Amino acid sequence: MSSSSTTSFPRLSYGGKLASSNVAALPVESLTFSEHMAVFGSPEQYFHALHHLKTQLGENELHGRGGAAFPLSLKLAAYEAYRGKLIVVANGSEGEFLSHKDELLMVRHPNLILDGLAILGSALDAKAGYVHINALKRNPQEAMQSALSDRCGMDPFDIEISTTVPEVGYIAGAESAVISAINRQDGRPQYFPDRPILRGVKKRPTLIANVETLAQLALLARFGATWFSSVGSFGDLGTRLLTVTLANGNYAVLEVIAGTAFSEVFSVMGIQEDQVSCGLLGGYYGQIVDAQRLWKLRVSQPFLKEAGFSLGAGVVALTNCCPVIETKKVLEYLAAESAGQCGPCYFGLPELSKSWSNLSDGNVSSKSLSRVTELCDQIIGRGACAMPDGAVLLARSSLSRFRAEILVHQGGNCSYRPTSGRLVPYPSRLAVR
Amino acid sequence: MAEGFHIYINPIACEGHGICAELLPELIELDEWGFPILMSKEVPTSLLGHARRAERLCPTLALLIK
Repeated sequence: MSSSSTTSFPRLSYGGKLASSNVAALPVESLTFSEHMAVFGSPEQYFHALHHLKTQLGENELHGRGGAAFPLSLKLAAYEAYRGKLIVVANGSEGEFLSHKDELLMVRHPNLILDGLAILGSALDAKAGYVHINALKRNPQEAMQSALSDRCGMDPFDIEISTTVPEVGYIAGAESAVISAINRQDGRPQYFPDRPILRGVKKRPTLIANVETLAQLALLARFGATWFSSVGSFGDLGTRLLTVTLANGNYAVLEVIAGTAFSEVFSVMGIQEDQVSCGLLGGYYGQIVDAQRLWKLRVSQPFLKEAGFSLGAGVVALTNCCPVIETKKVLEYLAAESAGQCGPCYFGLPELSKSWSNLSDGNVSSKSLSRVTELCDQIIGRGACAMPDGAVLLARSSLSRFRAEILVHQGGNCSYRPTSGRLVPYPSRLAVR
Repeated sequence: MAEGFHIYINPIACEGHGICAELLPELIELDEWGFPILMSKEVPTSLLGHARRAERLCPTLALLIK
């Protein structure tokens, strides 16, 4: 993949199997350091190149791939005043239980992530860098560690591996939780209302970027804005990693050209619309969408935003169960994953989950319906991290989107058959694990 | 944020003593578990003295006016 190459896709899935002209599967084999250098070339000429980076990002915004879709150029600008003082962190904690793209990307392209971290960090004369990884995932830890030793100090600052605190679970990837873990505290989210974070890792200004964002940045810095934006449509540029998870737990990590229809993604996986009742789009902080609607959506953050959705960390989970019951399961999960630090989350999420179960289990009345709304209104915006807001967003959207099915549940009915044995079969040909 | 004062609640530090809602009912109400809900983040000048008192008397120092 040279800059002169006309092959603009696959990118992060380079060497992987092309499933269609817009979708490719990420291979699992790790690119060694010498293979990486042969394919991508050395990153060194892009170190300490703040102006270059600003130009490339200026011509072509790179939105973060960790879930918040924050523009990287704004992050860069916010931290510029702290040049020479800051810590940079590649966030690969992937607390989102349904997402596997970061894990797989770290195994496949550890050097591309490190290039991105070095390019971004050196542009701001960072003091040190960390790659923060889920403590329960051994493979990415080994791949990143081995890549770091292969690079023998090529990077302009020291980079260390750090890991999440396993007990923290879903919310371990929140920026303030990452900082807590690196500082060897309890790894739970902290109250950091302001950005940029000025007293983060070792009390220094701390810039955190998702590992896919950094890998994309490494490509953007090398091949330029024109190359980067040579693919993409529907308001979104470049490519995105997507984890498509099925209700039986199987998943595929795919690189998809931005703007591709979800119908194409599912079709290359061999999944037909009539096999699926609904999908959870955007992860557990996302929304449940009925299949008919989902099949018409596109893998584009601006497109989805316009339609009232979010891609989150690039997650879509398909099921053929009842959306009302699925909502109940997700709310139960989120309530159980609360760190128990903030009152509105600790007390509110179990109560919200209970109020939804009440509906789902057949007690549907104007009182039980308004109880859900009342709890949402109380909980929204009141946690140190995004967890309570994520749960509220899901509950509110399912409440309005699946109102008809909720009413069916009155007295214990359901339009869908029982869940057991009705999971969408996972197609093995695109298996990435 | 230059103009005027704003209330911030650190939701981790807050233990729901509810003193803020007693002292500043114009801006703070309590949820059903006794934790503060801000009706407005902005503190009008007329209430600044009361807001400062609430900040000072919060047992967990979870309330900030700045």
